[in-house]
Formats: sequence, structure tokens, C-alpha cells
Amino acid sequence: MSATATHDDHHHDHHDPGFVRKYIFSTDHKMIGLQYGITAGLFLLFGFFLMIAMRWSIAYPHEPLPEWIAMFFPDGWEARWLQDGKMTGQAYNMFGAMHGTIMVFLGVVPLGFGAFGNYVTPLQIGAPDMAFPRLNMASYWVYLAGGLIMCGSFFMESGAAKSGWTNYSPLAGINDAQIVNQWLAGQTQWLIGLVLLITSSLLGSVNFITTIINLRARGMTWMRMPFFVWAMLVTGFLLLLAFPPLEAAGIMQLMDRVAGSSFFMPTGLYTQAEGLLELSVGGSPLLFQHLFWFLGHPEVYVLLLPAIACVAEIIPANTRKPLWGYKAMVYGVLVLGFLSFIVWAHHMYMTGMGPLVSTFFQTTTVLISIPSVILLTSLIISLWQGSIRFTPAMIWACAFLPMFGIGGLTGLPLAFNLVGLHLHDTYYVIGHFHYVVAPGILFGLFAGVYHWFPKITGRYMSRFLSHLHFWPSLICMNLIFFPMLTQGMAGFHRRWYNGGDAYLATDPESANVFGQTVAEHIDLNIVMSYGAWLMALAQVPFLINLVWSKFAGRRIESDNPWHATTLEWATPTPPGHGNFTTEPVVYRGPYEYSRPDHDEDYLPQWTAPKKPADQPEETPAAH
Amino acid sequence: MEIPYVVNPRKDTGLFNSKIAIWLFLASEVMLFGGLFSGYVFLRIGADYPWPERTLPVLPGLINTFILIASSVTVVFAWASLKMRKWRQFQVFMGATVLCALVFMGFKAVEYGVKFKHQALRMKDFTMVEGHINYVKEKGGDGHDAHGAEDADYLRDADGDKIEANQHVFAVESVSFNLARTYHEPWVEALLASAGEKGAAVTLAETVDFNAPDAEETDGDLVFEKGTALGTGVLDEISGAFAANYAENASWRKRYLRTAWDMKWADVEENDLLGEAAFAADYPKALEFEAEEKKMAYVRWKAAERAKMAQDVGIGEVKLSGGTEAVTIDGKTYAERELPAPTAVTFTCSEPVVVRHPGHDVITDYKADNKTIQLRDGTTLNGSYKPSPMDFHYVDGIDFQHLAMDAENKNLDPEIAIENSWLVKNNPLVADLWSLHRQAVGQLEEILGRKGKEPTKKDRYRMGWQEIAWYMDLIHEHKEKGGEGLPEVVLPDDANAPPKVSMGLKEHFMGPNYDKRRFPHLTIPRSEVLLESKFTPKWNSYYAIYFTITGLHGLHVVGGAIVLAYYLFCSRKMYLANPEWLANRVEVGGLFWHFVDLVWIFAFPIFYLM
Amino acid sequence: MADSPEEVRKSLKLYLLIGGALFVGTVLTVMVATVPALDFGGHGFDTADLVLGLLIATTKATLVAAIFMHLNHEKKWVYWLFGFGLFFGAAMVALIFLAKADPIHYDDFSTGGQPTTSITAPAAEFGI
Repeated sequence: MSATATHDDHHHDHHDPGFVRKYIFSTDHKMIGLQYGITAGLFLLFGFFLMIAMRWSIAYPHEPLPEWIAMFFPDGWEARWLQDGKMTGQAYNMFGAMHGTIMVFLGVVPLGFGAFGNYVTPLQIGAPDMAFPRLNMASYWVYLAGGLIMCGSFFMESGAAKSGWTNYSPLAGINDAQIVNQWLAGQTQWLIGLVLLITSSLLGSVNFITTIINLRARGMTWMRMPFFVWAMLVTGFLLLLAFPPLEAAGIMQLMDRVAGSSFFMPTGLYTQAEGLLELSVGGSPLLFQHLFWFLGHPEVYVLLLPAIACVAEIIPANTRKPLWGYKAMVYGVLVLGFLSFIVWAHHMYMTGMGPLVSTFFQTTTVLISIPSVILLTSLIISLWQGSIRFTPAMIWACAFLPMFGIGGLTGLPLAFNLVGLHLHDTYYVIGHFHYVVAPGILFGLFAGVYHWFPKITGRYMSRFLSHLHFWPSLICMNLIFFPMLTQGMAGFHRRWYNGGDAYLATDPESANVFGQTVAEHIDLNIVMSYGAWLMALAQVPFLINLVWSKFAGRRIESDNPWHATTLEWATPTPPGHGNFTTEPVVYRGPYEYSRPDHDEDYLPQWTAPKKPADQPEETPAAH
Repeated sequence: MEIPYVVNPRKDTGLFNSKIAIWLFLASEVMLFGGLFSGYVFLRIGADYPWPERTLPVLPGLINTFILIASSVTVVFAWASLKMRKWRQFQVFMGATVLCALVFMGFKAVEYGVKFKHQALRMKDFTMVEGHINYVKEKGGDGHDAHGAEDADYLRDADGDKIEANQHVFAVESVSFNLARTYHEPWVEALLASAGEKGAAVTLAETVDFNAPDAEETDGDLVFEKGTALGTGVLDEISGAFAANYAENASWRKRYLRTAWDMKWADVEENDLLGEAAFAADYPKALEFEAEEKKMAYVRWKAAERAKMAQDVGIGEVKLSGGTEAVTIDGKTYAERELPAPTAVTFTCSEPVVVRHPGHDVITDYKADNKTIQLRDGTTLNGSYKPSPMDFHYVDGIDFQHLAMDAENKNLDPEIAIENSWLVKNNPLVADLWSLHRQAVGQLEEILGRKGKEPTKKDRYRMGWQEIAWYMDLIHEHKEKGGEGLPEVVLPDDANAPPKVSMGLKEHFMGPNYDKRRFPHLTIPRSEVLLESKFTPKWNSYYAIYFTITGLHGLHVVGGAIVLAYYLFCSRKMYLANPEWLANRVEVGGLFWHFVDLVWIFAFPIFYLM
Repeated sequence: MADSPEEVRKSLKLYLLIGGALFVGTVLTVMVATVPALDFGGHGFDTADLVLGLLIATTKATLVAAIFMHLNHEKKWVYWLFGFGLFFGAAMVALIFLAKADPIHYDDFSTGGQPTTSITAPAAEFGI
């Protein structure tokens, strides 16, 4: 007996909902997923552009930005924030803070969780939609509002936020000396945007978890769920529980900015512009860091899990063999989610934590590498003895493995607090987490785009263009990020807006301890910058591919073009509102490839057993 | 398409969708309030000032607690009524719940309102003064006779609100606007209004010409003659002209720099300026180095060379400002000249014009002899400070706790430190009050001592409004009787605190009844002020966290009440069609409501009682 | 089903009872804070009052959660979902306080009177 609601206020499903309801204020999880994807993609491009401008300042600190970068700035804005066309420290800080914020909060999370999660999760568990379609829509619009508010602040008197994506107090909490109405300061807008983004992800995560718990199709038992869904479940919990403390911190910092409170303002704050600040003081800047990183670390896994989830779907489909160690991966991801909540203070070794606490966080941090390694190893072993098809998605998935591997392994030294003290705030850290996020996570998400594009549009993406996208991207990514590891160990500080030039030129009597090593590695700046600019060029084939394939790509032959086994391939292409034409029933686990007792090399979850003798699995749980 | 399990629970989980969702949401709320409450504890144990404990009147909080508890009961009854399919009863209970929410917010509004009007002040020696500030009177003077004045006698701002006599008063002789910034329009308007009243003219100090000085004047020439009257229109025009010239200059300089660098790089390439040969020529010693050492020296030399190049190419090399001759580089002629773009314009006042600014507007630290002050929009006022004292017409709290703590930290006797505080030394009435309070504390010490207890710091060093009113009454009676000197304070044998007047019912909510109570007047020069604020988040971390948590809680109450009111007023149709669905909704709404109650159960004791 | 109309009708009395208990608890909290005879520990607010106040508040909260929010007879999923929040909330608060309670003591180490070495920047060598 499946429960049926006798009351139905969704009558509009049965007829054409009209353009606005279908494409803009849609409650269909697939359309919302696409909205998320497109919006996040645009934000990613914007964040990337900021970095392109920053890389110029790092490589050629004394030269004005070239026209191909500067042409994107409005004239008045350029005059205000760039000095004779050169990047100023202010503008660099603004770009740096917003690059981080945009990439993390507006780009990768919405793309991984919002777009892929939304599109694929309900399909894979055989649900007609998310549990709360209108909440889903609200989640997208709140996200968009938050993003626009944050980015709009570029055009304010104060400029956008300049205190790094971590937004540490007191720097971020002090009133702008030259802004009368602090509500109209970029730093305040950042906080408002952040609170909206947190609200959005809260709505999203509640929706996801409810959907996964309650809307699984008949027979979709927990251990028959694709790994993708498990990853989304864990991601949902991370968002649900890790974001609110940052919301608390954000609200408190907002109060510091607009209500003059001193939550994070220590006693005796003095600024050049204002002298001794008129504050009640007695606050705790460290509390902000704790609350921020309580989110900040789980956030890393919020970024990672959707990507690893995509890869975990693509690898079995393209190796034609089951995912190796499915159960281990499921338990691994659960442990990963759990541990990610209690490792945060390894970002704070420099704050004067004592040996007891440092040791605790050091231990948990090292422990968390175990589930990560389980996930990665399982994926690598899944390749073993497979009949690999190098589809566009598969090449990205294959590249994800070593790239994420480098990212993960370079993180290990940072887990130890003595090494952490040396490498803190250097390019080593930047190199480490960019290896995780850029060639790692983004490659995984690219793989996802190539994999599910046929389901979304009914056409394949161009194989030629995808190779033209892949190889330059792979090379450029490493060109950008590998030298960072070297530079970091040589003492390059992550916030130098002129790439170390000013550091070399400082008074020789000062404690310029890294002078020599910095001089040795400063030329790498130029190599890395060229890597970044070429990387931008390498994305052009992808954008062309997206548009061209949508309208002129090769049509798919069936609803299941990759001959995959999970439920999203059981739907019509593209899936209509409500997803499935008949109520899906699940008969087996998610990765039944190359079964010796089956003629084809794949046995989808939804294919009914032919006769009882062919049915080694248990019958679907009765409802 | 239908979403399953909206009404009936799924078999294996036993739950319908929204129940899962609300519990997930509540879990995240636990984290949110967990973060905030840990903020409270963090701030409290880390406070380097005396935490104001038990500082709020308990009664409003207590009543609000009762109201919330009652609403929790009614909401669960409303749900039960639906379960038993009694619509009328549901309406009654749900109506009561929403009403409770309204009353709760009403009390909250009163509590907040009283605090927003109540002034606090931290002096340089850490004496705290609490009370109410005068308003500025139309015909001069910030007199103490708040009662005698008619409403019409007061100066009003643009919004028609009375202006508080708690502002920096400055006689402006000239004002400079920073053109790179956006000036704050209301301030300019206030300045002009003030000038207009006096009949003073505010005019441009010097002619501003945005074209090159010796170019022919053109139609588009923007000249602002000396003597142009200040106005927002004029300022807008000047700012616009500045922005246009500034942008033009920036883009000219940018193009110049680009060309200069192109040439430099061509030069470097052609002559191999960064090559090993150049290095050897520049630094012959390197030839004697080992290969490895030489390589290292070369790299470092190159870095230094590049920094030198940056200096060569610098914009300062070319004469820019005002020059009419064209600059030629690399065959290209840059005929454009740098356009004049003065970064500030100055307007002078024919006679000093008085302006008032709250402390937050002014970013220059207060000194009575300041000749210039900087406003937050980049505007500079030249002139002189007028006396800008803080003028309390009621002082209803004098608190030496922070001062005493500061003294103890310096190993001084707090009593002596208080004797030497500015307030006690300069104000005989405060000195009297303090002397009475010391008497009272002395007796209290003795009384409590018999029970093996001792007065708290708050008992010792704080005179709240009830104490002050009591002492003032005592002094008054003493004087009525024609007594000399100070009266005697006699505490009853079972005294538990310094003597207080007992609060009237209204006083629990609205603070002291100023018509009935006697409070001292006090004028404190601005130079003694360290921090002034209403009782808002700015005053101290206690009020900051109090307003944050209770404010957020209030938002939850409002949000919850809206949803519950929606169930109450807009769900008759659903009740008739599918009562179970409505019951589910009410259950979920109720769960949220109980959580809001739960938060208050903790917020009430920690803010009101601890 | 525990939420059947009959069951609900039966529990109405319990709800009233709990409501009453909450009222009493509230009055008790206030009395502990204001009535001199009930001022435990030293005079005025101190640890004893803190512990007592929080104990009463926790009891009240437990009653609300158990009875009004039906946590005394919920499905296991609810315990899991809400439990995560409680667990990680507690972990967060505890670890933050652990970190605050265990700072580095700077006087434990010193340079032993040796001046810190300074490395000459290349700029000096090449005359900038």
C-alpha cells in the first residue's frame, strides 16, 4: 500500500504550466537543478575572472592590467579602484576575498549540491520530485538573492568585502571609517548575502534529507542506494548542522558592524583612521574563528562529496564492473561526515591553542584521512580489470583520481601542528586546497556534466570538443597549482598582492627571513599566471560544447545511452514533470554490471527478474 | 504527479515528510542557538569588565515566560482538537496561541523601547552613569528644566524628532568635501539649514576649474567661481566633473604606462638586460662563485633588477600635471594632458555655523581644542569645538564596579579610587549619595557578616535607580526637617541589599516614574566621556548578546505566529477536505512553537536571573 | 498508532499537568534568584545559583521536549535526526571551551638571551 494523498493541490502538473512556471519559478527539481547549475556556472566564471586579474598583479606587479583584462571593468570603477590601471592592494584584497567567497559559496557548493544533487538525487531514488518542491524553489531564489547582494557590493562606495573569504574579526567587523551607513558597506553586504546563502542551504538540506529518507521508491533499501545518494545524504547533514554556527557568527558580526556591538572586538582596538575605537570591547575574535571553522571544515566535504559522488557513478558505468567496495565506501562516507565536524581547529594552530587541544585536533585530522583514502582507493580499484570506455565523462573522472590524490596527500603535512605553523598562510596551503577543489572537485563535476548531459538534453556532448577541453585544462591546472606547493615551502605568503616583490624590496635589516628562497621562486609567478590565463582559454571549448551539443549534438539512441544501471536512466529523456512514467520498483543493488548470469553486461535496478529462478536478490520490501 | 507521504506516514520510517523536515530544522536550530549561547558563555567568562548580572527587571520576563508556557499548552490542545476533529475547539486554542504570541511581542517591544531611550555613559575613569539626556532647546541653552518647557520649545531635526543634547557641537568656519568620496547629503542639508537660520553664506573658497588652466575656455568648460553658494546641486556637479577628469587621467596614465612597459620589455629582450651576461657585467664577483652559488646570486640579482625597472618606468618620470606639451614615447604621441582634478573643494562660511553630529559621525577623537574634525564621509570641518557636554536631566544609575575592578587590577583601594573619581570629586550631590551608600554598605556588611556572608560587588559599588531614589528621598526629608549635613542611613536588621524604594507596577515595565521620583541632574564634559550609548548592543557585550538572542527568538516567535495564524484563518477548506493533513501541519507548527518555548526557557534565567 | 484520537484525548490531562509543572518551575527559578531565604551559596549570584537555575531550566526543557514534543514516544528516526543536532552542538561547545581552557603559556619558552638571526635580503647586496 503506497500512501496516496486524497487531497491534491498540484493540478497544474497535468497541463502546460506556462513559460514562467516552467522555466523561472519552476518547482520541478530538474529545472531547479538546471537553474542552480547555470547560475553557479556563471558565478564560477566570475570568480575565475577575478583570479585572472589577480594573477596579473602577482606576475607583473608594476604593470597596468592589459586591455583584455581591463576591458571588463567599467571606466569609473577602474579609475576608483585601480591605480593608473595597476592593481591596488585594496582591489586585490577585494578580489581575493570575493574570489574565495564566490568559488566556495556561490560556485562549487551550488553546482555540486544544488545542481547535481537536485537533478540526480530524486531520479536515482525513484521519487517523483523533492519532498517539498516549493521549498526547493525558495532555496534557489534565496541563493540567487544572496549571491547578487554579495556581488552587487562591488559597485558600492566601499567596494566589496576585503577581509578574505574567512572574514576574520576584528578586521571584518570594524566599521568602514569612510562609510556613513554601515548597511551600505561591502563587508556588511557580504554578511547579509551569507545569511541568505545559509538560509538557502538550510532549506535545501532539509529537503534533500527528507527526500532521501522518505521518498525512496519501492525496493530501494538503504544498501541499494547508489553511492551518489549516500554522498548527498551526508552532504545534507553537513550543511544542516555545520552552517548554523556560522549563521550565528554572521549575525553577531553583523551586529558588530551595524549595531556597534563588540562580540568579536578585543579590548584596546585602535585604527589609523579613527584612533581608539568607540566600542564597549571585551569581545573575543577567537570565537569567530571557532564558529567560522566549525562550518569551514565540513564545508570542504560539502564541496568534495558531490564531486566524488559523480565520479563514483561514472566509473562503474564506464568500466562495466561494479563499484569496488560499495559498502566500505558507504561506511567511509558516513565516518567522513562524522569526523569532519571535529577537526576544524587544525585551521587555527596559529591561535595559541595548547598542546592538549592541538593534539586532539591533530589526531582527528589524521584520522579523517582514513575514510578519504577508503573512498579514493575504492575508486581506483574499481578501474582494475575493467573494460574501460574512455567516454568524455570517464576521462575527467580518471583525472579526478590523481588530482584529488595530490590534493589530499599534500594536506597531510598540514595536519601536524608544527608543520602547520611553518606553512600557515603560505602558498602551500593554497596549492593544497586548490588541488582538492579545482582539478579535483571541478574535474569531478565536469565529469558529471558530460555524463548526465545526454539525460538532460537527449544529445551527446561533442567528443572532440571535450578532449579539447580536457587536455589543456589538465595541463594548466597543474601548471598553476604545482608550483604553489614549492613556493609555499619557500615562504610565499598567500596575501602578497604583488607576488613577493614588495617583500624582496623591504628594508634588509628587517626580518626578511625568506628573502633568498623567495627570490629563487619568484619567476614561477609568471609561469603560474600564464597557466591561469590559458586555463581560461581552455574553458572556451566547453562553453561551445554546451551550447552546440544542446542544439546540434548527436542524438542519443535510447533513454539509457551509457547502459547504466541506476534509476535516472529509467526515465524518459528528458524526464517530464513527475519523472517516471510508471512507478519504479527496485529489484537489486545499484551497480550490477557484467553479471555472469545475465546476457547483457548490465542489469538495471529496475529490470524485473524474468523468473523466480533468476532472482537471487531478496524481493523488494513490502509496503 | 503527487508527492507521497504528505499526509500518511511511510511504513518503514513511520513518519510523514514534514515531520522529518521539522525535526531536521530543529536540529539545525539547536546548532544555531548553540552557537549563540556558547557566544554568551564565551563573552561572559572572557569579560574584562564587570558583567552586569541580574540587571533586567524580572517581572516582564516572568510574565512573558508564563505567556509562552501557556501558548505551548494551547498549541498542543489545538493539535489535539484537530485529532479529535473538533474544529471550533481548534479555533479557540489556536486563537489563544496566536494571541499569546502577540502579547509576548508586545511586552518585548515595551522592554526594548525603554532600553532604546535609556542613556548610558562610560567615563574615562570607568565610572558608569545611566539616565536620560536633555533635548536641545530652540532658544539656546540645554537647561535642566525638562518639565517646564513646552514641546514647541525644542529644536527638531529633519524628521521632526527632538534633537538630543548629546552631540558633538562644532562651529564651522569652512568645510572641505572629499571629492573622491560620496558626501552625505543630510549633513550638507543640515549645515545649510543652520547657516540659513543665522543668515550666514556658505560659498566656494576658490575658483575651481576642471579644464587645463591655460587652455581656451570651451562650452563644456566647468568653472565654479569663487563665491558659488554651497548646495547639493553644486556639489553633485563638482563631484561629477571630478570623477570625469579623474577617470580620464587614470586611463591616460594607464595607456602611458602600458606603452612604457612594452618598450622596457623590448629593451630587455633586445639587450638581454636580465641575461647572464648583464649579470656578470653588473656583478663580476659572481664569476668566482661555485656554480650553485652563482645561480642563486643570479636569481636574486634578477629580482632586484626587476624592482629597479619598475622604478624606471614609474609614472613620476614624466611631467604630468598641468603640462600642455605632448608626451611622445615610441613614436606615439600622448597629446592629452593630465586634467586638473582637485581631490577636495573648500567652502567658507561668512560667519561660524553651528552643526551637531552624533559621536558615530565624527571619526576624529574628541579634544576640546580640535580645530578640524573629520566626518565619516570624508568631509573635513574647520572651526572650533563648542562645549559638547552630556547633559543628564535624570541620573538613575551610578556604577563604580568597573572603576573598582580597574583599581583592584592596579592594586589600589577601590574606595579611594572612587573618592578620587571625577564624578565624586566634581559633583557634591554624587559625593553625598556615595557617602550615604557607603554607610548603607557598611551596615549591610555587618548584617550579612552575621550570617557568614558578604555583600556582592554590585551591592558595594553600584547605585541603581531604586537606591538613588531612596537616598534622594532621604536627603529631601532631612532637608525638609531643616537638618544640617547628611542624614543617617539605617538599614533594617534583616536587610539583604542596600536600601531601595519599592517599585510600582508600572515601574517594573517602564522604568522609574520620573514624575514621582527624585533624581540628580548631571553635566559631564565630553572630555570625560569614553563611551556613550543607549542601552543597545553597543553598550556592552551583555546587551549585545541579550538583544541578539532575544531578538532572534522574537523573530522566531513572529515567524511561528504567522504560520499558526495561517493555519487558524486559512485552513478551513483543508480541514473539510483532509483533516488529517491539517492536523499534521499543526503538529509540525506546534513542534516549532515548542522549540521556541524551549529557547526561552533557557534565555529567561540566563538573561534575567543570572 | 499512538496518536489516535482516543490516545490524544487521554493525554490532555497530562498536557495540563505539564503546563502546571512548567509554571511552578518558572516561579521556582525566580524565587531562587530573588528570595533571600532561597539564596544558596554565597550572597548574591554565584555558582550555586547558576547550577540550580540551569538544573530547573533543563528539567523544564526536558518536560517540554518529552511531553509536548512527544519525544517520549517517537519513531527512531526522529531520535537520530534530532540527536545529531544535540550531539554535534554539544561537541562544538565542548571543544570550543576546551580550546579556550588550554592556551599556550608563552613564558614556558624563551630564546635564552640569544638574538634572533637576521638574514640579509638580496636587495642590500645589490644596492637597492
